[in-house]
Amino acid sequence: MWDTYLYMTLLGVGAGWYLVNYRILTPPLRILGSAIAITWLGTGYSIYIGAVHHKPNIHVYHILIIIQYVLYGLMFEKLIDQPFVKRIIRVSLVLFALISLSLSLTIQPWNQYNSYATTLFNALIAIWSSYYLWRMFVDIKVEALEQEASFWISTGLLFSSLGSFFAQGLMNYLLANTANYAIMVYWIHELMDFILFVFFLLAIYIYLRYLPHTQRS
Amino acid sequence: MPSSPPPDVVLVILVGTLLLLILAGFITSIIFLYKQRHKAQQQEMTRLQEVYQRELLQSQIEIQNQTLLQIAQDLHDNIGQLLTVVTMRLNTLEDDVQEPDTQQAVQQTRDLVKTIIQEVRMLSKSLNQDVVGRFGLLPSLTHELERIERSGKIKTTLLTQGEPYSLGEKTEIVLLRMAQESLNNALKHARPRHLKLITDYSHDAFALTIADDGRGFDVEEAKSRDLKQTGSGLYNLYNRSALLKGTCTITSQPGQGTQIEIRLPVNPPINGSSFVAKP
Repeated sequence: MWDTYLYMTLLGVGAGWYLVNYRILTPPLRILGSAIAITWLGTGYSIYIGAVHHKPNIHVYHILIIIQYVLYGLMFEKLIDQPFVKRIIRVSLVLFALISLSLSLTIQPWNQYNSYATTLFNALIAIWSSYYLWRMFVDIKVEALEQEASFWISTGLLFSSLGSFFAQGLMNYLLANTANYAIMVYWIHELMDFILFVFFLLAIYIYLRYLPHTQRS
Repeated sequence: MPSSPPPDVVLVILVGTLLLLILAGFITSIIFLYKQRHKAQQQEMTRLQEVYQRELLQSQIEIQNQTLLQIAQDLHDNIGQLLTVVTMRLNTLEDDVQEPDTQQAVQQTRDLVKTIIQEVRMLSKSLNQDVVGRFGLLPSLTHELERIERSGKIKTTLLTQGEPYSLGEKTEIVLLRMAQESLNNALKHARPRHLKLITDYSHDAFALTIADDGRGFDVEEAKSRDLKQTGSGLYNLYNRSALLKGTCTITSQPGQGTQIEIRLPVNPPINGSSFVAKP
């Protein structure tokens, strides 16, 4: 249970910090703050249903993953400059929502874990984050990479989405054959989620640290 | 006896630590590589900026030379010819008039016009860069000093140290223009009685020094003047020296004259060929 408390604490602190500074954030960071807040609310709601009312709560994650992808996708759409890639991201937002809903209505209904949608989510986020990191590296627009909030956000998303992609792929096999290793993979997946939200907190710290004083009010 | 943690927990911790180390390694290497690329990009931009400034300056010098050449040709072809016609008319007039006073006036006028023709020819040579190409830097500098001495008010000296060698036509044209600029500045502002030019042809460097005994000026104050107050003379000297990969040092104080030293590195000659200014 301690992992749930830690997870919710990280999400809550992140959501609060982003929303308190909402006025001075750039549009991509505002979208990320909204994503963190919605993730916090959605996860909290699912915990409330499951722990308090002892009812199935898997369906919450079917909806939550669509909202998360739309918000992360919009964030990358704002960060990336290339018009063609921006267009592809916008199209993928609609396609992902349709595919995820189709899967929820057919192959993996609301009362089952939506591993296919989650795998697709992780794959797409890994693609956008690695593309953005590559463009940052190639275009050399900023003086110091470590002073850019978007660098930390993209690195965190790349790492956690790649890790989750492989973890999701292994999970079904592990659950069927070796339950012990499945638990291990679950904990690794939890660790990567923690790292992700630590990177989100680091990103806003870096942003506020290097924000010019004239823009702080 | 404390029990050791279960192997699953140990494995999770080990794998987790390994993942964190991979993440840290990835971040460190990407930041390091990015810094290298950024530094290389900055150096390239600085280099391109220098190349651009150099080419811009070369274009300005070329335009100036072309303009001066045009003026020189116009002086020679138009003004010079007209003055020659005036001389011929005065010759005819001298033969036609009988009164001695009038004849003397005509002779004086004719002598004055001949003086003007000589001045125009000298000015035309001074402006024509082809003179440097044909005769070299030293004769061109000598010609400049002779033109100044003809006014009768200023004494000039040209000293040469070392064995003269060619610096290349383009370099010598720029040096001549810089010398002309410095001499004109001295005549305009310093009111000197004596102007000295020293050319030092040493093994690894060429130095041109223009010195006067005029009023002098505060060099730092002149450099720090704002756009409305300043002329472009000093700026041109420094820029043209930089274009030739050399240095320009101006030494002056109010009441103590001025000395301008232009120093260029040169390549030593190979097998008896002439020295070449370093590219």
